[in-house]
Amino acid sequence: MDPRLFLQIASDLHGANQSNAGAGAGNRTSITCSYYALFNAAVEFLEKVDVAVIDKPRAHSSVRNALIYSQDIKLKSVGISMETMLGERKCAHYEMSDPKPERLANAVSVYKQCSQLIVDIDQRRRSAEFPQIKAIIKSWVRSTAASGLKVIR
Amino acid sequence: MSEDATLTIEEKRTATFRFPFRGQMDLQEAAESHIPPEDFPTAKRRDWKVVSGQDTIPTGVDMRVWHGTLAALLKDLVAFTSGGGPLTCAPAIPAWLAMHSSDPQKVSVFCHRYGILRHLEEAVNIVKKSFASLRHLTIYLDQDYDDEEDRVVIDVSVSIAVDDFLQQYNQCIIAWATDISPDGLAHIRLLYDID
Repeated sequence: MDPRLFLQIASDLHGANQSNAGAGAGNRTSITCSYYALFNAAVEFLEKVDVAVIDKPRAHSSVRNALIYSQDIKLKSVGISMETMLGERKCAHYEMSDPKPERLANAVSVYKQCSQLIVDIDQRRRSAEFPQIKAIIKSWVRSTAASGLKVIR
Repeated sequence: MSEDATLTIEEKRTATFRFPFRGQMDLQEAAESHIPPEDFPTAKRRDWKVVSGQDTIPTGVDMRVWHGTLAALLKDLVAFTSGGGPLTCAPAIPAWLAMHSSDPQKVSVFCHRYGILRHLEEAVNIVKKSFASLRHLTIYLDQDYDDEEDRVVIDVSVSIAVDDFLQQYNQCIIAWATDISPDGLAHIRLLYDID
């Protein structure tokens, strides 16, 4: 499945009538859908780099780290933002006493940010610098025993 | 305690402990016995080899990170084994951290363990410059349910339209990406609330 399809669900959820009793839950779930679209797009990108996740419990931080150690400012920015979005997702689906993720502005901002970050990832995948980016990430994975990732070819 | 505990990095890959222990005590045993697991990362514990007070640092470990870990460990060991006392490497709490955190000591120990205090300060400075409508900024430690990794969180609250916020947020993140090393970024999280 194309993970970008999660973005449509996210948009539908926070685009629903905000006066409904379930609007808060919809906004929370929109944040989660947006994050998982981004996370899985990043996993897909790493597969193009010939890198796979092996430490499943630490998959989120492993994928983020591969991007922030890529030495590419755009991908490094994506990695930093992934960490923010992961935190917003955690709040959305684990912290019921915190009203923050129920606010429309927060759901919309996460959706817009994740959408843009996926565009950024796709642009770096198609860029002339991709072979160099690929070599740097693979080298980092090979030299980092605790990366939670492995080079697959 | 008759003398201070000290920690010095004498060579590129060797740290030497000088501990005022009463009698013989194995450093690893002391750490395993007295330090809560969450304060002594599993990965580091596996790598821990102590021979006559000398610890050989594995290849590829960032010295700043390792020094931070040792400094935190040393502090905990001294506290547990001797009931406290003078400690030459105890991290001081900087004013900017005390201003924004309800538990600056805990954040400071975490940052020293990973050698990221200066990165955190830089990250906070960039946040303050980036968000014109900043209402609150708090700093605390948090752990994710999924990966159980600790992060130091910079949590901001802003009053601003979504699109204006995103513009400022992106400026902030580009500055972080440009000015802060990956070793710092791996342990720092920015959270926000548009209120």
